[in-house]
Amino acid sequence: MLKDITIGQYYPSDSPIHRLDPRTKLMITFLYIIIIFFVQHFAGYLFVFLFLALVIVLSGLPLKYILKGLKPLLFIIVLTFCINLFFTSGGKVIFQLGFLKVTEEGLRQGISMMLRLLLLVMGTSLLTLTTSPISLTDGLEALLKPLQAIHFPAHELAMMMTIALRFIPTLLEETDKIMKAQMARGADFESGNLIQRAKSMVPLMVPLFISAFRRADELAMAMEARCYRGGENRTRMKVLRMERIDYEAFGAALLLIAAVLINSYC
Amino acid sequence: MKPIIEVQNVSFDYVGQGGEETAALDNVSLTIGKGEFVVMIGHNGSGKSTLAKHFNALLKPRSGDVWVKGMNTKEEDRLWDIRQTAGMVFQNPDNQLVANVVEEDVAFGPENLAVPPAEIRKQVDDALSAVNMTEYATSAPHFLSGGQKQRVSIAGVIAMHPEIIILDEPTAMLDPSGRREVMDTIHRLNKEDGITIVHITHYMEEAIHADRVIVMDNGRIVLDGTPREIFRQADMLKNIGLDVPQIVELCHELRREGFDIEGDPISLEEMVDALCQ
Repeated sequence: MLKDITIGQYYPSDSPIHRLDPRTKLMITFLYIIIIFFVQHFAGYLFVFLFLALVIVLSGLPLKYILKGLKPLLFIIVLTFCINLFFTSGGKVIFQLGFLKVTEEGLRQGISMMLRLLLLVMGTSLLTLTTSPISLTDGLEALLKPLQAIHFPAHELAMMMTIALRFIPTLLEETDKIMKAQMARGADFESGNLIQRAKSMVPLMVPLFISAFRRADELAMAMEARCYRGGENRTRMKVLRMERIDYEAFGAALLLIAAVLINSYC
Repeated sequence: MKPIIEVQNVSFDYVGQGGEETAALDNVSLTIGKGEFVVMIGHNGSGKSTLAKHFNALLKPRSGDVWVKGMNTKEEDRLWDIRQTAGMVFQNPDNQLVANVVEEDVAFGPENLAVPPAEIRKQVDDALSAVNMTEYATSAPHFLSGGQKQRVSIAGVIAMHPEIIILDEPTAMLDPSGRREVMDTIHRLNKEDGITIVHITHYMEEAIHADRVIVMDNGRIVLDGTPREIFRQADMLKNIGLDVPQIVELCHELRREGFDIEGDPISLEEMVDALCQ
């Protein structure tokens, strides 16, 4: 059961988007999120959508992969649409049923919000779909490095992410093992209401936590034995380098920003 | 033989939760020569692991001194030189791999030593080929078998170009084939690259091909010699709760039954030779 959980949703491939420097992808995603909220007219969404479509085509990801990521958010998207649809007033009334009233402005707002959410989720999921967790971590560390001047623990954060990624499968495997051991002794994890089920998790969580602490202890010793002394004076085997393709990607992103801003405010 | 690890009158005790002290090492002195393959044997709590952790300054002696290649482990500013000289491999392969890609993990040590990136690449490739794991360079550790994971751990140490590798029960959690993989690897590193090996184990069989066997009990060294010398004292070993290799046991049994067996065979081949004369 626990074997099915995949961490991150990385889709390995060798597309131009996959080959982009993780820093480029992180920064463009960041800009992309901001620019979505600057869109004022539907034409603006068209620009964003075209940009997104271009990225999807270049990345060579199967469309169903991206749509699958939208599924868990369907409820929120529909809810946002309904709230905006029914509770925005202004403009001509299109439709009325009792106290529910749909206005022109409401429809506009509803569709706009829905598009925003859709573009947001699809855009950001492309980042994790095309970037392996480890290069994502490297990219984050490199981008946050300047913040070390104000004592932001950039290296420590990246190291924590690396170790977490490394130990998630190990701990999942262990959870599975403990679960089976408890089940063999008559533990029941599947029946009862929510509270009962939460309670039945206790004999699972206690040994899991104890073993996680023991592992942490041993790992710390192993890291010290391998001369780990924090992020200072440390080199990396893989050096991130901006290539031509990265500058091209930035160019495309700037084009999008310009188009949206001109469309919205000129 | 030039000494590389020198232990002089070292005592160490653990302080328990209630503040009571348990002696883990009791006035231990020992010299290990460069290029030696040393196996340390003892039952749980005999102090063998504690002693090994003194070899790379993970623990410091309460009294006495430990020198690694002439550096005293008490000198704070030589700490990283000592740990680079004496690499350590631990028992649980899962709890010593840091990164979720094999080559990234092997690179961890050199990265900590601030080696330039291009050189790290080379050291990582060399280390992986030294343990025959090149084809798994980009795999995730959790897809590897126990023996393979332990070989990656060894590669992680080799990448730092150590002169000594201390292995703290690296085979305890492995199946027989994984155990053989690890033993073959460390024997090869010792023979071909002249790396000093300190191998801690409680499997007697793993001591047969060592240059030297050290038996510990109650925080002291009770026996120290070649495997043949050690196994001759089967009764003594049994007294402190250790087994002898099957072949040695067989030899004893045969002699007791009146067979005349020449020499002291300790491996299967030697036994065959001795019996077929």
